[in-house]
Amino acid sequence: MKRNISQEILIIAVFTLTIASLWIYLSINRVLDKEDQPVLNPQQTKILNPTLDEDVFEELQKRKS
Amino acid sequence: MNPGEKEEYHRSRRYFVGIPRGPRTSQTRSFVWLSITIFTISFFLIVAIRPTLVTIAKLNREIKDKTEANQLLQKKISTLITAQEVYAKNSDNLALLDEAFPEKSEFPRLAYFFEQVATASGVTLKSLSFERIGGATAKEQSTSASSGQPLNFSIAASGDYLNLKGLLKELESSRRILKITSSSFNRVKKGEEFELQLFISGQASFGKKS
Repeated sequence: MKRNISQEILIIAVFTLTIASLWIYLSINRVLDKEDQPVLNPQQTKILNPTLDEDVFEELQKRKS
Repeated sequence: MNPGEKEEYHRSRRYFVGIPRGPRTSQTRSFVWLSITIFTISFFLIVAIRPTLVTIAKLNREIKDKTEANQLLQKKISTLITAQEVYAKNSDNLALLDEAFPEKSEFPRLAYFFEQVATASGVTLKSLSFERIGGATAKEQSTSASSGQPLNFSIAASGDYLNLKGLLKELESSRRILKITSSSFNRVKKGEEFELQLFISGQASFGKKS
């Protein structure tokens, strides 16, 4: 069956739309997967442990200086 | 068309352009309009929608990262406040820590402590020596900040067994953290009598505050 030129153009248009959609999907995916520099450096993320073994002071108090 | 025009047309026909005829059937016309629509949508998808969606994704990611960082910093602030409270509560006791683990070697104080303990235990201090550490003498170490290396010492004392044992116990329970690395009892002949001697070697730790 001989195809009309308008049909050919329609196929190309659909193909273009598919590629454009795929490109958008990949672009968004790349942005979401990309590992950016962390907002905080390791020094800033280090959390201090505020618990203190207060028995040490009692133990030291008992010892002679 | 008269003969003059016909002749003129034949001479200049190469300058004419054949314009294709427009769509004839309604189906062809629909295809053409549909194609134009799809091309337009594709154009705007590429030129306008894609950058917008990419920017939205970037901003969403940034918001998520910064929210996480904010939570982490909030947690850090709360632990710092707790640590500050603990510090304020125990600030009177910090001198004890300085005594147990001083910043400098505090060699004179340590020597005085050994003498004091020996006197209290009723033993005779025969010798007391401090080793040089890292090319620096004990005197130099007492005045300069250390690199965290322990101060090695050795003591020789004489007396009866119980007193010597008491000296060892006193040293082990001193407020200044002392590590006794070795201790040995020896019987040394002194004239006609035997004398019991205790040799102790150990380390006194000290360090620079970071």
